[in-house]
Amino acid sequence: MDAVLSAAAIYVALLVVLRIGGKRTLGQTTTFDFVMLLIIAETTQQALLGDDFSLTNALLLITTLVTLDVGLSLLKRRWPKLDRLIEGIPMVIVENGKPLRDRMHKARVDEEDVLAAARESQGLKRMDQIEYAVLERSGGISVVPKRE
Amino acid sequence: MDAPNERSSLQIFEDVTFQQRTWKVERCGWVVLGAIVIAALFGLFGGGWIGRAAISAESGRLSLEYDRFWRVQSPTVLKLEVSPLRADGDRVRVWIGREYVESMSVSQIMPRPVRVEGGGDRFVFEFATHGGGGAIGVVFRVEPERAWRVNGAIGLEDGEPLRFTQFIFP
Repeated sequence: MDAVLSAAAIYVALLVVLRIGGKRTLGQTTTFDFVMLLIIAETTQQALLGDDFSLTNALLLITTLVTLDVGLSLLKRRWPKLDRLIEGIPMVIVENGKPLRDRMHKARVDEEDVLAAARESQGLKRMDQIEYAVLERSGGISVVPKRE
Repeated sequence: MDAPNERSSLQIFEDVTFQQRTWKVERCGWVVLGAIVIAALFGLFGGGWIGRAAISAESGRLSLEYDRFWRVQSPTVLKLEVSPLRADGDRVRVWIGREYVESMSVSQIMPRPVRVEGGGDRFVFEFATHGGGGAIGVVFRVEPERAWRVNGAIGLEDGEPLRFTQFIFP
């Protein structure tokens, strides 16, 4: 019983904390984000397992987390508002080569991030080659190039 | 749903029947997972409503609370309530079957027994009471060392043994 409750508590707490942290927190994997991910994983592991190292406990924790995740995805499909609340919504940050600075500032994305995404995904060289750049729900930036 | 001719330029191997079968299995799997979680909430793997059990001797002088289901290498407690034989008695003596102690590692006994005796198929623990003749609570902190069924017997020196079984998940 405890395993299910602690798994649920950790799941909800992580969901809330990472949502508040903003989508850029773990959205891209820089070296430091990777270290953050490891630390979060290690800390949660201790809280989840405690002093119970049995196989049953481990399987029960995994089962609970997966069940919660599947359950939540079904709920999100049924209630789009919940989906928006948990996953956020995509946002345009560059339009016709012009960065929308206010939005970018709020989302903690700078032009360098957009240019990097443009180079990586589309092989673009300059900002004015971008028609749209969108900060996606996943925290990544997608780029639509201008048609030449 | 299936339109392979539209995608003739796409190099991909699709198998829709296989995919649909997988989805069906997935749906069944979700139900099983959900059932496991609900069973765990009710205490199938320890704790909760069905996991905890209490028994007491006919004389009413000994009662025991234990986990019907528990997990290997995970600490739990046996809670005893023992009354001394005579109202003015300041000692109670409880024994636990050797088979049980051999399958568990006992990390702590509260209150600490004033004497422990071995002999035959049991260990006898003697506890001091404050003398008023009332029942005292005794807590054994134990950790199962092996999985599967563990049979325990516990009793007062002059009374019938209380027999209990714990199922220990691996």
